[in-house]
Amino acid sequence: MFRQIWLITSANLKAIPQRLGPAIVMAIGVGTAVGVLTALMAMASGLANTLIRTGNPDRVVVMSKDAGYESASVLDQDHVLALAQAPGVARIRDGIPALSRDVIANVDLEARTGVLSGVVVRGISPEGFAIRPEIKLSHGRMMRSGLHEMIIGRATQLQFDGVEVGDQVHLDDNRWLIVGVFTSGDTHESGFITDADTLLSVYGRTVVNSVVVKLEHSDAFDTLSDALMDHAALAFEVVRESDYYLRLSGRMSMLGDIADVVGSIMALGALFCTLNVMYSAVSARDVEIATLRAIGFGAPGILASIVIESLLIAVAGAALGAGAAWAIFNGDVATMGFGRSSITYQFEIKYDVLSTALLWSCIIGFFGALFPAIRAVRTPITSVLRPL
Amino acid sequence: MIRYAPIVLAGLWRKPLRTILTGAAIAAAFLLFGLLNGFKAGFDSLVDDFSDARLRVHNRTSAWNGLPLAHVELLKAIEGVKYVSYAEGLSAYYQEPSEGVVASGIDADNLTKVFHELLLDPVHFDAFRRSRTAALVGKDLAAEYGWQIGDRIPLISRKWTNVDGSNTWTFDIVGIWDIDGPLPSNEFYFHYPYLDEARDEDKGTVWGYSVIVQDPEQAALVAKRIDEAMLNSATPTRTLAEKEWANNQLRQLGDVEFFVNAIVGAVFFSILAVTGSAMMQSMRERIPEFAVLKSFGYRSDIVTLIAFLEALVISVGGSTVGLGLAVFGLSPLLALLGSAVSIPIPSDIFVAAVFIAISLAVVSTVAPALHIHRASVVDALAGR
Repeated sequence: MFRQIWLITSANLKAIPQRLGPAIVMAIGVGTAVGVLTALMAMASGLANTLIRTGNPDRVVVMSKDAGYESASVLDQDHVLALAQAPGVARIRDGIPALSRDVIANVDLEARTGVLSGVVVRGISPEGFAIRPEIKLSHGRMMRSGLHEMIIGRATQLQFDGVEVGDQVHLDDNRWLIVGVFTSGDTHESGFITDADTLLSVYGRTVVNSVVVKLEHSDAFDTLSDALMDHAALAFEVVRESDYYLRLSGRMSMLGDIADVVGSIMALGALFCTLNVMYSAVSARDVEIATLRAIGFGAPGILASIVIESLLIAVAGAALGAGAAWAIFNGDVATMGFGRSSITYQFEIKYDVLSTALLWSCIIGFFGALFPAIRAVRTPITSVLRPL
Repeated sequence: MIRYAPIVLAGLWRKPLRTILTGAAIAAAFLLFGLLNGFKAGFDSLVDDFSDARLRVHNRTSAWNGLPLAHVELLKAIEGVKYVSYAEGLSAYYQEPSEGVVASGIDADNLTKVFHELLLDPVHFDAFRRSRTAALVGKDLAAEYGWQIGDRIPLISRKWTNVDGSNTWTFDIVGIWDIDGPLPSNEFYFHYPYLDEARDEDKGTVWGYSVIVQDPEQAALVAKRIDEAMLNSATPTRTLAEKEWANNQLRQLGDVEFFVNAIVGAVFFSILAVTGSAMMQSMRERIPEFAVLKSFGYRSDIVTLIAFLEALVISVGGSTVGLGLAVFGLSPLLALLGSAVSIPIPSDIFVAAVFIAISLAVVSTVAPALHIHRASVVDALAGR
């Protein structure tokens, strides 16, 4: 049987140049659908990955009870002290607790697109860098404590003009100097980082927004959480950092949903186009197929050859479509509003997106050929050959 | 043209599956066209509905930083300003932290002057003014929790503590309002002093001001004046016309326009190529049939017309189905995405769709038309 499939398929494929028109048309239909799908998936994927990468399950965000968001949370010195002594908290050298007092400030900047966007300025403790090893300085230097200096995330520079090392940003009465650029691959890269105490003193505050704690080990979450929730005098909200950002990303799923809806409609359209082309192709070859059957080629072989031919054209079209999407969109930067800030993310067309695109094209190619092929092998041979 | 109907219909039903599939592909394309354009147009029209005469004043550094209440006198003194109102958010939820409520302490004296779209019984408004703990609830919010006039509702603030040491703030609902316009109708208004007198932090600050200008034509100028006047104060302002502010909020979602255009463009290139070619191929196969018509004495241009009508029926039929689905599907789709807005698809999209459907029919008939003209009856009947 495989030999039959091979014979018929290779004959069909060699004949494609004669029937180039329909093949190209089908490839265009599938290619466009897959190309658009790829671009949409790249967008949703880039955004989702940026969010997922923010938020390490080994870290915990501690806020005031029922705050929900860091910006609505207020923790004073008593809270911080209680945290420093709580069980389950990792230690950096010399027994210093691995926690960062985080202070959140906001600044509205005009993006390159003209949209006024909120950007987060996060003040962290010096230990904050130790517990967040993903934050790496790529240009310039770190800010010096006490001075109005801050470092900017690489993604932020993609979104705004005038934020290079050496530029200044107005935060209320003060001008802050950008002294370095950092990368982290997550949502923090869409903002600024500075020293928590400097930020506090500028705003005349003594309370911080949240405390980010590194756990001794991943399972220590319950130990820490229980200790804090049972605390006699103080009230806390304790969330694993990964869960915190997952909760915030609720609105982001809208993008994925849009991609799913649009993609499905496009795929359906491509399926109709493929079916149309394959029905035509099969009916144009009805004499050939009937002859093959008459001389003894089995139905499976013929079925398989038609489906294989369709799959090859569909995949070829998809490759062109995905390739075009890659060429046009890969690495492109887009921004989406995210609470009080925005996330700048890149379109990522990588393995997962491409393999889904390939899968879609195979599904379209397969079902687009299956029904015509079945009809081809079920039509009585005599009714096709008799008119000759 | 009606007398050609039987021939046209016969032609369409010659290969029913092909006709249906072609029509279905066109329908899918126009479904996308309708949905995406409806989405986009919805946003545009939403922005348009916002007020021309109202300005939003916020802290220049960040809208979240707030402004001092003291600014209100400075604002009222600016040339071109008619009414000034302010609001401060409670950052609250009802019962569960996940049930956030947009509750704001407002300026009772000026609320209705600045937000004239507010539909509220004056009797209820009077009751509101007379009680310190009174609250006015938007009808959608009241419906969501089943609140009624006379209810005593506790809200919990994430940020501020009441005089009793708890984060609970209790209100008496004295009125339910609706809004005539695009502003949300699920907000909760109470008296600003109730919050400000009791809280320890951020005293004397507001989230922002809303300003009504004397002359809407002068709105941009007044906005500039406000910002210039506040430039040297401790808290400079950023004043935007409400329309501009709304547009900015929406654009923060991402560059919707670019993506809609890109997707619609890709979709259309695709269907034009595929269905146009499918129809062309179908026509080519039927040259002998058209030749038969010619042998009966039908002129070439009539035969071409018949072919065109066939293509037209498929493309208009397909586009009608597609757009029809879009019209019915847009609201459920938006609800699925979490939006409560109901957006009708604007009429110029239908006009554009008709134009495109007709063009598709024309384009796919052009090449076959040439064949029809050139087809010699003898050759055609011979099957060559």
